Amino acid sequence: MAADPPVGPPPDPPRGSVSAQHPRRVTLPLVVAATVGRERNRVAVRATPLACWRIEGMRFDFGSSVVTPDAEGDFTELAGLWHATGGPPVSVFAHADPSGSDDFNKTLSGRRAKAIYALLTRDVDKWDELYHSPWPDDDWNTRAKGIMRARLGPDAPSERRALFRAYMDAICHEPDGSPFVLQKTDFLGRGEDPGGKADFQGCSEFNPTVVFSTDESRGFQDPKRKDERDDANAPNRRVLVFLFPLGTRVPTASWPCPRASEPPAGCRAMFWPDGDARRGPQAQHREYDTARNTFACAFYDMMARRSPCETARKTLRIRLFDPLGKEAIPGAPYRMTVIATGDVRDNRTADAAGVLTETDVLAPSRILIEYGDPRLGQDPVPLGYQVMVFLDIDAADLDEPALRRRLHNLGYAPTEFFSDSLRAFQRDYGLPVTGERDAATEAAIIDAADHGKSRSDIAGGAATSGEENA
Amino acid sequence: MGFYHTVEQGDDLPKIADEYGFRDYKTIWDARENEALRAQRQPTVLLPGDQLYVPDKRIGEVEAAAGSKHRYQLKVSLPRLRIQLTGFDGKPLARTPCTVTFDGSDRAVSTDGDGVLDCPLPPGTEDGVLTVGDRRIDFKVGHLDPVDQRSGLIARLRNLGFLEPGADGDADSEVDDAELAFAVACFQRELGLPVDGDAASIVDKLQEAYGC
Repeated sequence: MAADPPVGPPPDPPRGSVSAQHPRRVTLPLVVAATVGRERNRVAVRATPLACWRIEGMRFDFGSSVVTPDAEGDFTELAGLWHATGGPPVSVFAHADPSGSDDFNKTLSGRRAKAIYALLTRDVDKWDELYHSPWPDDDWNTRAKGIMRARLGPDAPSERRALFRAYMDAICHEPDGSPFVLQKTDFLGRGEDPGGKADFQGCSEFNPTVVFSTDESRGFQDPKRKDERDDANAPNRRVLVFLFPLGTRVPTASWPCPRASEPPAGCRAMFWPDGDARRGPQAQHREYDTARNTFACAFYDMMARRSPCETARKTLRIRLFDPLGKEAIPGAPYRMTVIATGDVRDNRTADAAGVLTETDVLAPSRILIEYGDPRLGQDPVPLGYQVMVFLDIDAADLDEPALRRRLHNLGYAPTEFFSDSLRAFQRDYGLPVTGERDAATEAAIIDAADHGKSRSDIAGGAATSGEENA
Repeated sequence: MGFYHTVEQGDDLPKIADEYGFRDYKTIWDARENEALRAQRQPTVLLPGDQLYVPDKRIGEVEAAAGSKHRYQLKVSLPRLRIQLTGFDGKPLARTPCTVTFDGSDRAVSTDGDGVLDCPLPPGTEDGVLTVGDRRIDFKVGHLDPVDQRSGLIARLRNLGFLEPGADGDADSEVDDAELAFAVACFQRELGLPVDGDAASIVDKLQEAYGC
């Protein structure tokens, strides 16, 4: 019956890193008052990151701070991002997952932060410190050397420090293959503190992006489900590098994070008053993307709030219609621009049903799609049509604005009265034209907008259910 | 006969006084007709739409003996710029050198032990630049709305580093309620207040912490 091929969920390849600029914001002048007495204006010299790079825990050997060779491409992405943003000051923040104690995880995350810092600055001494301070699963001896020798092949130096250095250059390089090396002065604390204050820090398990519900948590206590729990915890194991505005300098004494080697007491000073409740299991499963209340550390929460490396990245799927005929355009070429970040994806093509699928798109966001119609026979196909779409975090949202956004994404121009939009949609999709927001209409809007179902699918389904009712 | 001046965005009393040729803004502010406004506002933080009474300029009469020299010293209240700088941890940046630039001319200043820099504000100043280390902070004088207005609340939270301007690179876009609630929560936490994100509950504390 349906002429359109089925639209399945998009493939979701495992990604080892995210590298992105934060939504651009215009820096407005601050607004202050003149003073005529003892009053004053208080102005904080802080900085919010302008870009971020996130490397997943899977790029470390399990329970260890040894970076694995498959992180190579991730460091190339970081190099590209760092140059594209003008070579700004950076700082490293590492996180462990909530299995194990706070102290254990503070140490593990601190060691991972130190390993990344040392790698970026080619500080072989710091890797050597990790080597000389063995810690439960963090073996920088036999196992680490084995990983490095396997990567470097027969040319691997036999001396330990030379091996460390050669491995650093092999996995951390520019797109052209030359070494990507940061100076200590490229970090927020400018290397002024020997313990790396403001340069790199371990955030223990304090800021999980995924928090299990109490039920899930109880279920995961079963030792047989350990692997499953580790998988579910994967998003919580991560190292972020935040890139700060050019010229940001931190007097290290005013930096709230404790050193990577210090116990977690200093972190607690920056916790939300209910920080432990935020990071611990509650009745509902919560994710930072949507619940926004899973981080215990308020300082980290402020930096991560709008970071594409810590917030939702969703799949955008819409159909591209011929604006006049209102029929989908098979294989429509398009260019997508995320307005907030300037993320542009060009030379893309919709599938045979005219469905555009883009993964890893910042949400919520406004997105401009410029597209063309190859059936008109022009070469190259001009991108003469455009539509502005909205990508929500919570696709199941059914309030009127969310339904209006979906109708808009389906090609219905906004109308003053919602009922007019509903009527137009109902007419096109073979539903009773009532202008009412009934369950069948809501379901059809969601099928069309969120699942890319075609008109004929939906009209057919509506007819079937109508017969059942009769 | 005096008259009423309707306050516009960017007006503050020293600017208005300068505009109407008063050497001392207090001559206007202390007029009996401004009693209600005085109770409600600070002279440097007015709200667009406020009605300010501008009295007749009095002509000072001074008796002087003919043939002798007299020196008159006028006591005039001049506006200043006072900014307390704080760092990443919200604590004052004491004795920190910085530069204030008005109309292209730089002035080297330093904050005191409480992190406060204090310098005279040239009459009619609209914009300035404050440079701390490599950081450049542009500012506008006279546009700060009263703290009980949403705009005034947002401006103070912004200056305290809890809010950034504009979404989507659009300077005028409104701060949404969730963003404001988060900024309020950050402020409440830093001051050790109960954290509920309720903007209405912080008005007095914010005025006190901000300093006006």
